[in-house]
Amino acid sequence: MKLLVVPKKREKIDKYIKCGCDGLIIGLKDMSVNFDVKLTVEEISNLTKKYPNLEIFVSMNKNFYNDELERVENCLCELEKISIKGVLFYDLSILYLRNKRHLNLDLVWNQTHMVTNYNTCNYYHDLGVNYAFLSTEITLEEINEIKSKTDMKLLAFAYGYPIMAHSRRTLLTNHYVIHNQIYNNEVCTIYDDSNRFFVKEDSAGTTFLNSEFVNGTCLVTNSAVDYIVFSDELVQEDIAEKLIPLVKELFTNREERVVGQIEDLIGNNTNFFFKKTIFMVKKNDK
Amino acid sequence: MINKRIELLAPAGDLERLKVNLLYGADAVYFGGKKYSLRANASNFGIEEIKEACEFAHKLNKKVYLTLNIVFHDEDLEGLEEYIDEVVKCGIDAFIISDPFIISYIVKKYPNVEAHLSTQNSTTNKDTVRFFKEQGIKRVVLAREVSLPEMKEIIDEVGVDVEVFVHGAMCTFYSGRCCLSNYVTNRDSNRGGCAQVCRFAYNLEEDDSDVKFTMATKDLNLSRHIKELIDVGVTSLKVEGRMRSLYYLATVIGTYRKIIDFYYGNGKNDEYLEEQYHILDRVANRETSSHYLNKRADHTDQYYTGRQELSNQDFLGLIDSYDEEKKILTLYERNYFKVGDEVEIFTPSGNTYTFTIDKMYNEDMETIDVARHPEEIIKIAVNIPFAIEPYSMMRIKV
Repeated sequence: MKLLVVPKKREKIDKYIKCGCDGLIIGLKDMSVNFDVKLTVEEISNLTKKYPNLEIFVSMNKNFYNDELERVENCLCELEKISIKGVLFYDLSILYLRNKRHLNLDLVWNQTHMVTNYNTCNYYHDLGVNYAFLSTEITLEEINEIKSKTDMKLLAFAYGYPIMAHSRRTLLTNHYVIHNQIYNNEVCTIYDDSNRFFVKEDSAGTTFLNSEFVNGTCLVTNSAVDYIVFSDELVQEDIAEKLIPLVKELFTNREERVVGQIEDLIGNNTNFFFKKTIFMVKKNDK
Repeated sequence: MINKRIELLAPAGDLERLKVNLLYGADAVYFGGKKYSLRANASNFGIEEIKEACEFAHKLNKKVYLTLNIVFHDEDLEGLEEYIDEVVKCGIDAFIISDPFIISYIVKKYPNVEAHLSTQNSTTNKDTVRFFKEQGIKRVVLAREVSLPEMKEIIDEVGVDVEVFVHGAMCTFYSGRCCLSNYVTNRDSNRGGCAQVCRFAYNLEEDDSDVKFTMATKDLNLSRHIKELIDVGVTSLKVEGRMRSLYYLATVIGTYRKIIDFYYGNGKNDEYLEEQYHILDRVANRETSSHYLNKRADHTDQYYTGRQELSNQDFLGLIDSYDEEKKILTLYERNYFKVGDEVEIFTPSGNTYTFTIDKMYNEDMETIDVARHPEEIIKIAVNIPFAIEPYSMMRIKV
């Protein structure tokens, strides 16, 4: 098992590496959504040269439109030339273009909330996709079943604020416009009696994240996924320096003491790992 | 050059709605079975109902599409192959699917049943459409975020059938990219449990004023753009709303039928067209807009007043029969009306007749002035100049 980090700031990358992370997931400029750190291909190339042993995944997880496809294709060709581990994709145009150009580029199926079963993992594997980033809304039991029935290498979200939804609409700008104010491009917080969400907006649209920090230690202790992911985005306190070494320690030493220290640091919100979602609220027999 | 008439595709939450849609002019209907559909809490169709739906539609030379568009978890796959076998035997014409594994299974095993790519996949560009075409998809339901010029480019360059939503509720988020419902209500939006959390109002911490943050969208209404959609080569115009009322469906489908026929030359004038737009505007319970069709959606495409939705009282009754000898119309009351009201009869074949209620009776032919009880049998003395068909309705003059 390896630990990947989604950085919250570019200048923090050195620190994550010093703390022991095995790799990074980096946004690509104009090609990613939900990433605070978005670099150019050249900047990513420099990063791979600076840290040759680091596993760097690049995210191109935007929904693309016709007028962006040429740039998408060019980016994929450029990324093929540098030493990255793989490209995360949401939009199937990425897979189409990779195959059309016969690029030697590993892909990660990353359709945020839709990576939920092993048959579809195997389907993409047959098309030459070697990695899948599992949905954050499935249970640990489902994760283990997928792992046992696919040859894909699996990534799973373990620590951080989970993404709940993404819109092409500029929902914060719209709110401020309608109320004769100006949106200042900051991350906002919305809430009601029982929920609290982070909302951020950029040129691609608006993203909602749950404000309850996920503790996915169970992935380390009770699953065989290949990569766990810690997203440091929107994390106010500087917990990365403490969390990364503890999680790395947990890889080899599964003592309750370490589990407890992680809990003390980030709490014990296990998200959907032990909670199945429902979808029928009334009886609906066949 | 237009070779083939554009299809009008209607939503059916149950068998009665399916019949109403087809009789009011839909060319095809789509619906979900008891499992695997993104409207898990609609009545939906059992196997026998699917069989009856196919027979009913095919007799009218129309088509039925079955939604199989949930995002599957492993537990959902149990029994799926047998289910697909059963519904194919019922005679469905196409599956609407989002999961590519299911697509590949259906394409290989049932080459005579079309596979349509669900909008749940949020398909926004021509290379994604090319990918799915290679996987055997015959038709793509484009994401609602796609503009008219983008649709044209996809149709011209890729050569698959393209279906677009023209009317009904909109998602705030990309379809498939929203799990708000999972987090707030534990109901899985990608498996049909969406609780419409996006229609709630929230406090915004950074806004000092008392105004609420809302993200609810106006409904979609592309009725004024049908000609453009026909001209760019769209194959099918889809109406949203599997859980809508009979009256809503009859009105929306019947009106779109008339608008489409107008553009293929039904000999009517512009005033007739304006009248259809007016009817559609009237039946809506939310404000509407064209969203992404000709621009990127913005603040004008949302509404900001919380969950305020209008209750439409126009539907007065579902007509049961008409006695041509005695000139007595019998109907089941749905909303309050009274003697002196100007009302309108409309039928599935498109006839309308406006009159003022002069004499009205209860079930026992006792004279009454007011109809105020839903489902009450009401009889009205009126001379209607055309035949009354099943599922004819009466509304207030709009």
